[in-house]
Formats: sequence, structure tokens, C-alpha cells
Amino acid sequence: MAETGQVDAQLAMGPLALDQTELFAGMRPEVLQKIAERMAGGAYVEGILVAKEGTPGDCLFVVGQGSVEIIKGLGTPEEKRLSTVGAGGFFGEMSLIENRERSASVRTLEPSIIYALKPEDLQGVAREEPHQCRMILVNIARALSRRLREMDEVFAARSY
Amino acid sequence: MAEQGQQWLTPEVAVFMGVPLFEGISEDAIRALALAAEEDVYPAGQVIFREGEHGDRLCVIGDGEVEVVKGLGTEREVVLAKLGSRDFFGEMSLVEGRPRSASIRASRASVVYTLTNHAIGRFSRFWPEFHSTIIFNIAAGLSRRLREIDRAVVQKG
Repeated sequence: MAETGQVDAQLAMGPLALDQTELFAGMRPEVLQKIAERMAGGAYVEGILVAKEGTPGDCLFVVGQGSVEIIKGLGTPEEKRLSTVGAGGFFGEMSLIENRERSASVRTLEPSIIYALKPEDLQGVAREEPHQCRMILVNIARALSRRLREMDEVFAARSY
Repeated sequence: MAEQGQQWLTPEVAVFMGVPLFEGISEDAIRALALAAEEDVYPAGQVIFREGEHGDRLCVIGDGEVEVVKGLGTEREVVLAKLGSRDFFGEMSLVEGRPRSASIRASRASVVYTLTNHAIGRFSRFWPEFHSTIIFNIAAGLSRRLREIDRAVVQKG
């Protein structure tokens, strides 16, 4: 994973901003503060591969600034962009939830700041604040459902 | 002992024990869910949910098979997926709080167990950690279906 520099999650995206992200929506600032302390951030230039299809995935990513594209079959004749994720969105959760390889590749569309979150980063918080951590799961399920709904519509539109 | 155990294994409990939706949940909690569930039998061809309707329940297929259909009854009708025994449906409206994204039609006679939002809410107060497990299992199911539809969309070009 090529990075152009480490970024302090608290400096670039404080607890208030974390509250604006899809992954952490509805969570309390003091809990988010603890999570932010554990998250590793990276600054990426345009066109950097953040995740590669077919490789193991042990973390999910939150987009602090910038945007990324989700691509299947990168570098093959069947290459296809499935979607884009902008600031405040997240990606990479499918590998984590299913314990499987990355289902697609992810590439930055512009200079971006992206934070990685590993399940072990949440262990302490999960013990102290189980209800708050459940909101992360709910937010992931909601985002997956929305994306499934959108892809179902794309599939249906191309089927008749 | 085995016979005695089986006396207590109602059909709902037997089905719920083997359902991916409830994987990782204790037997006590599964019995509580089974007690809260309602059983319905749908003949082949019957519509169980309609696209666009308000959704307030989660369903587990006992013995049966259903189709997930978009544009039901229109010239643009498309079958998105087929679900079989021990699969679940109805979770998208549950997690998003939005109307049904597709219709569900029984493709053969099917036994369906239903849990209302209300019943799930009550369960979550008694078994918060298993409620989290169910949400995780829902996310895993959604992720698997998203993987499949992503691949199907790419194949269509």
C-alpha cells in the first residue's frame, strides 16, 4: 500500500467530524475520541491503489478527505467501476464481515486522506461501550443494504 | 435423553438452530425468538411482500423457496435472486427503515417464520449481545448478496 504520508486522525478529522461519517453516525463524541486515537491515517495522491481485489482484507477504511473508486477486474478487459466513495463514506467492510478476500480494488480519484480501522482497534471500546459499538454494525448493515439496493436496480435496468 | 430433547424441539426451534441468521446465538435465545415468531404457509405463486410497501418484519424460510422480484407484474419484471430453506429476507427495510426494495413471491409452497420489528426490539432488551450477533449476521448476508450482484452486473457489461 503506497502512502505519501502519515496523518494524525485527531488533527485532520476530530471527533465532531467523525460523527459526520457514515460509519460512526449517531455515536457519542467521547467514544469517537477513543476510536480516533487508534485509527491510522494516510495521505494518498491521485491514482493510488488502496485495496486490491483478491487480497486478504484485515481492515476497513474511512474516507476523511477526497474520494475513491471501487473497481472490479482492474487491469483486465472486463474492468468496471462499480461505484465511488466520497468524504465521510467508508469501504473495505465486506472482507471484514465475511472474512474473505477483497471483492474489488479501490483507487484514489484525487488527493485523499484515508483512515484504516481494524477490528482490534475497537476491542477496548466494545467492552466499555457495547451499545455504541453496535451502532457501527448497524451503520455497516445500513450501508450494505443501500448499496445492494442500488446494484439490484442497476442489474434490473440491464436485464430486460 | 435424545427423545426427551426432541420433545422440546418445536419446528420453529429446529429451523432457527440451523439458520445462518441466528448463528452464534445461544439455544435459550433461539427458543425466545422461536416463541416470538409467527408461522405462515404460502402456496406457490403467492406474493409475500410487495415492492414499495412499508416493511416491518423479518422472515426466515422454513421449508420452501421464494423469488426476489423487481417490477413484479410489469413488462420489466426481473428475478434478482432465489432463496431457499433457512435463508432470510426482509432485512433491508429493517436496517434502512425504507419501503420494500423488491417483491417476494413463493415459487413453491413455503413455510415462512416472521419476526416483527417489535418482537426484535423486545429481544434486544433481553439479549443485547445476541441482538448484535443478528445484526452482524444480517450484514454478512447482505455482503454476500452484494458480492454476487456486483459480479452479475460486471458480467452483463
